[in-house]
Amino acid sequence: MSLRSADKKISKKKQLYRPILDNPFTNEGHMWPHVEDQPFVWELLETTILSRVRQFADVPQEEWPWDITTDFNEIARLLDGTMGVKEEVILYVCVKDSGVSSVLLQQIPLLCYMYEGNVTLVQLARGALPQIRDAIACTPLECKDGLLMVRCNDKINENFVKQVKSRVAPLQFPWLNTVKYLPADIKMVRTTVK
Amino acid sequence: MNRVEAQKFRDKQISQKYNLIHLLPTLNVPELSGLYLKSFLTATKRYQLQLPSLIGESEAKFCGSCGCVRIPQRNSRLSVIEEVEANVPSRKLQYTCLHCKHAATFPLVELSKESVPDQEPTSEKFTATWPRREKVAGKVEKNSSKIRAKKRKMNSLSSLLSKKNEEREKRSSSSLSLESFMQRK
Repeated sequence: MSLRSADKKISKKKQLYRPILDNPFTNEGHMWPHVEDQPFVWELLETTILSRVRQFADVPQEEWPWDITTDFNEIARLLDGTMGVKEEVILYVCVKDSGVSSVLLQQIPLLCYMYEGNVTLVQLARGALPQIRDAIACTPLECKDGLLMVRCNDKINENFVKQVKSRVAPLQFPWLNTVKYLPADIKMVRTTVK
Repeated sequence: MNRVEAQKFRDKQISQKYNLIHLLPTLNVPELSGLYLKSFLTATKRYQLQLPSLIGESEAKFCGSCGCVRIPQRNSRLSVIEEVEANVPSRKLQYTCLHCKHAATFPLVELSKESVPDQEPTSEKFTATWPRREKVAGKVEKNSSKIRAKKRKMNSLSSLLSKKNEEREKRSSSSLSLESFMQRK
């Protein structure tokens, strides 16, 4: 094998097969919905929540003026319906920051899509994760997986929710459209008695 | 079929196979997903395609045991498990396939500790500490090609042979045998 042909083979190996991501049916090229005016959305989050959360370090979480969560398991349980809640939520995700597992991130849009309630999935720009960690450093919360969920119950300002929602495109996964409304084929259900 | 047509055919075939895997959950026959996934993967292998990590990473998008596409809430459960092994806390992401009960785990790297020392050096300006070479590079290069040529010449078979012969002669001359002594005389 000549050197040139070996080079060609290596460069071909490195080349990713992109057309598969442009598939409109699975829509993997655009998993994360487009956010219009990203600096403004970040500003909203910072002024309404992040800048104020420091003041509540000594206050128990139930008395905070909004319900926020950063724990992955809690978020996953709420979104996959095991908690039986269908309220509207806003989920902020640090997509671009290093230190967030890509395997973990790739299931989040699907998880949100399958949620029976309303989800606004907001991707944050690079550098958001350290700022969130900084803001919640003195509270019991820990942002380990780059997720921050805000539950839109009556505690939160309606205007804030409306502003964020109007700037984020809805999720689109045509292949899941029918799956969402199918009865589950799972035959085992785990229950616990307290 | 020319090259463009062949490429079109390939794209069409692959995307059809890929779509079929995603159609299976709708048809409610998860048993077939392994077969379809295998067919898709062999096709990509045949065309020597490098899949994006989003799709290609093992066990991430498809269950490693039964091959069905992971759909949260419907056929997979996500959870983060925190463990302490030998006083070292570790976090793992676990995907459990609700269809075949196969659990796949992915280690989550704790960056909060690692990123701190990472950030410190970036704030300082980088300064090179190794000694600089003096500017005689042009001259050295000229010599180096000459030296290389000389070496090449020295390493040729005939020169090696002559070198060996010389050595042998030397050795024989230094020996204390009577015969060689006589010969030299």
